[in-house]
Amino acid sequence: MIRRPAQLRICRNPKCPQRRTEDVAPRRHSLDIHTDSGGYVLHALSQPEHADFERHLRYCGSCVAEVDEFRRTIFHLASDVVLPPPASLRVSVLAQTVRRSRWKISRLDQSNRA
Amino acid sequence: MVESGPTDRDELLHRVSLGDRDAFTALYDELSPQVYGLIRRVVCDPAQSEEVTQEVFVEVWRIAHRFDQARGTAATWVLTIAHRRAIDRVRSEQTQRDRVRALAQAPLARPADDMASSLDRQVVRDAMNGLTQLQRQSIELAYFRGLTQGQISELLDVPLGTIKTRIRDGLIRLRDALGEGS
Repeated sequence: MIRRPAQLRICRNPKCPQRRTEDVAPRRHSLDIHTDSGGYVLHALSQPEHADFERHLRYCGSCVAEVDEFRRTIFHLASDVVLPPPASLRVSVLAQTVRRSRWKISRLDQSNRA
Repeated sequence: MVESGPTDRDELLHRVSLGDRDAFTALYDELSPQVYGLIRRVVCDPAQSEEVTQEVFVEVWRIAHRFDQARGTAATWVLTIAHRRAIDRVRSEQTQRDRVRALAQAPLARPADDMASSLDRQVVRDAMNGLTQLQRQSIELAYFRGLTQGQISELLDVPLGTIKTRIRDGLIRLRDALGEGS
């Protein structure tokens, strides 16, 4: 099967938020960037796609809202795979917070002294 | 597992952001079965899953102040971090090609059956069963197997654009079935 790479075209949509606020010249981006909301929430974008979509999110309120809805949605999928971790993990996780809060306090002390 | 309203967890996370270790302990007890369960499902290896779970909770402790209640619940926020960390781990683990090849032969694992969840699990399963096969398969491969859309396209031999729209359409259908639209 021949597969073409996603096309980057100049966006001619006068309402395109990226076009309006990000660049004076028409923004070059995939016209399909809105469809990446699903892949973004599932952490299924390639690194360049991820970066493009995060940039897009700064300007596109409807995608931000959709991402929040999708996150709440897939949360229910995670509810279906609940498994209690071993008790030893609890001990080591809580120990980490002690170490880190002490570290914070000692840093604060140092900065107070300085 | 004791059911707890989302607002309780939001309150706990708020206290965690102020450095309250008791709140952190309570939040760990509330959410660690979900966090560990999800990570175990994605990462598979128990020792690595424990490491990732620990990373997640240390991150929660460190950046709890960034939680924005207006954008979702504390549990959703923590699970989003957990999923990203789990995906990072599997992507750094193996080369992408090896993974795709191995997964082509491996059957999908079934979810654990022994714990209650916030929403009736049957409702979630019915919603998943309401998807087309391609929607369901693509979402499961991405969410539970950690494949990128590109890898899914390669694995299923379906154009990338089709995978993208099927994933989004599938999530829209799930969202509506589970009542998570705004």
